[in-house]
Amino acid sequence: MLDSLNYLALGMHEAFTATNIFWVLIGGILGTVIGMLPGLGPATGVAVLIPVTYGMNPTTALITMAGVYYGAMFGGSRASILINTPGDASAIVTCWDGYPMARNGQAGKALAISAWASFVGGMISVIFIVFLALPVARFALKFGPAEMFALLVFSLTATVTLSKGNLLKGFISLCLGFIISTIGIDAQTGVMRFTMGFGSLQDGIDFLVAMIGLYAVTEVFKNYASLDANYGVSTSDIGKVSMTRADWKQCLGPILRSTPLGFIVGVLPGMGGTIATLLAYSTEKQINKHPENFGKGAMEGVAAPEAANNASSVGAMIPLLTMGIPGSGTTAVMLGALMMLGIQPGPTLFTQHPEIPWGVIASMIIGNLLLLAINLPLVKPLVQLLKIPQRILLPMIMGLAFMGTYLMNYSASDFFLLVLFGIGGLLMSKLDIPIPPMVLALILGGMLEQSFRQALTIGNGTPVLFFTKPISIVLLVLAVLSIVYTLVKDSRAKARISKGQAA
Amino acid sequence: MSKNMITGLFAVALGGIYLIATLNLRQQTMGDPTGPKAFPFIIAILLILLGILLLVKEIKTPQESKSIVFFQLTPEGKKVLIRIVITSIAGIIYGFLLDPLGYLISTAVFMLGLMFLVNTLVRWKQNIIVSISFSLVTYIGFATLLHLSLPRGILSF
Repeated sequence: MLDSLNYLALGMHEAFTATNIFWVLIGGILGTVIGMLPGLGPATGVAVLIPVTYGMNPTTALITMAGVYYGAMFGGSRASILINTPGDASAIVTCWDGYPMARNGQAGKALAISAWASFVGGMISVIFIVFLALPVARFALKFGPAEMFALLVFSLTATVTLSKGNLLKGFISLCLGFIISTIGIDAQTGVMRFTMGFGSLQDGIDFLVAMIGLYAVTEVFKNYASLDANYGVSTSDIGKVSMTRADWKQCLGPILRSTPLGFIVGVLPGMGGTIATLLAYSTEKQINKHPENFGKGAMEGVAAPEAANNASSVGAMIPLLTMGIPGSGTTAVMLGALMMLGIQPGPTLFTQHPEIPWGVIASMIIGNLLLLAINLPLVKPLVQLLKIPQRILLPMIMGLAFMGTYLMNYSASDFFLLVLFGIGGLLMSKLDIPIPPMVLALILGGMLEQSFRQALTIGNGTPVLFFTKPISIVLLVLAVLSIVYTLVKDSRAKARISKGQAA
Repeated sequence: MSKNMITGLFAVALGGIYLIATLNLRQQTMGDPTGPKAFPFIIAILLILLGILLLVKEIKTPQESKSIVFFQLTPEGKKVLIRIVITSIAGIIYGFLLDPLGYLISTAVFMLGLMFLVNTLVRWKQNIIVSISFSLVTYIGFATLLHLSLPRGILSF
């Protein structure tokens, strides 16, 4: 307990430098803007920003990327409220009551509620992370190869089963990521694998190129279909961006209930902002005295999901920082950028470089304050950015994607791979194959294989270790259960549909 | 053909190719008894199984509840496809120009190409302004703020 506070003080010292405050601000603003623009989410934001982090020290880099991440949570809902188009997936729920509020002439109030709910949700979650990070990291220090393998299996399985969509296609996506991760020289034996004769593939496929391709290039390609979408709003319709005391009374309960919920969902792999907001919304609707108001502009319907998605983005930092395991596309990209800088997040990070995780945690306090300031008084000029035509925005994102790829190895030959991943991602989304499992498998595949082989070596070539270590057993059972649960849920849903047809 | 059918066939085919490639790998167990083949082997089998499962499930599914891929493009779809193809080719050409021409010129040219492609020819003034300022701002930003060097090419002053 006291340890955590001491470390937080260290983090404060680290975060309160002019450089870091500057980058929190830049990251937060960019995140807000990118989150606000329909079609571009936090993963794209972080991917496009990767080149900016090359020249930075790891703490500043992570602070900036985290700023983009929760900034996007603030920004995503601006578009939901004003134009009924969510800026990113986790802002969909905010449309349901935010937009009706705006149509009732309460746009300003909805924006204020969403900003305050995001702020309170984010701040409380920072308190959670301060006290949870160290115990979790210390626990994770005890993990040997078998536990690590089981944890990776569980996380990757959960990414598929807990997200929506076809289970089989999710696992196929995982396999694609694994296949890409095995390309290159095998670290343990030096055997060349699957390079297809290309010398440039010896070192494997740079996962950052893959991520920029999948999240920036693919997104631009997708948006090529809606070049003339016009997201302009007139600021005169927004009204006063503030909350009254009565509004606070009504919203505080939902905010305080949704924050821990969102945080827990964020910590779990595979869930992320979208599910956090859905859960928070439906919980509030169930316990509210007037559920009939939900969907027609209920303030609680804006406050709850907004608190939840910010809380989940803070919660997602726990597995990333303490175990080096990202639970979502956005945190995967952050992990990739950190590894590029030579930093491997995980339990040892807290003992060897405590200033990095604690600097990031402390920076979230500043970041949330800055974002509140950006999103309350400055919201009107900011939403003007929605007027930037797609026709100008998309080429610029494409330009940044290529620049980022080039700066990684100073080699333009990576552009082939970038384009390849951009097109591959587009084909995958046309076939409804989810992309996040592949990205996670791509970045975690190497670790998974290594822990698998190490555990087998310790077990004299038998998988005995996986089934004798208690933590490993629990995690593997959880992985199997999450698959079984999804199968049962799906077949029940199907049975209900066929029953409905018969009746 | 339905989306799931294509995905299933693709999974089986890729899994098969990957399996053959895995079996052809050199076995090397020095220092690591498991060797470099085991993990890819498991993945290959898993992918083939997943593909077969998806195919079997799709064959059992009634026709009306399948989501079908249409290979025939609408005129608008054709335009989108052309944009994607041109962007991809432009990106690769950009790669060849970067070192000889330098960052400033090649980026401006690449951006100009994209802007003309996406933002129509009519708004040529806007296109030129955006392209040149993008190239300049990113160059100055990276060189001064982040101390990263970008190739100067023929503008080696």
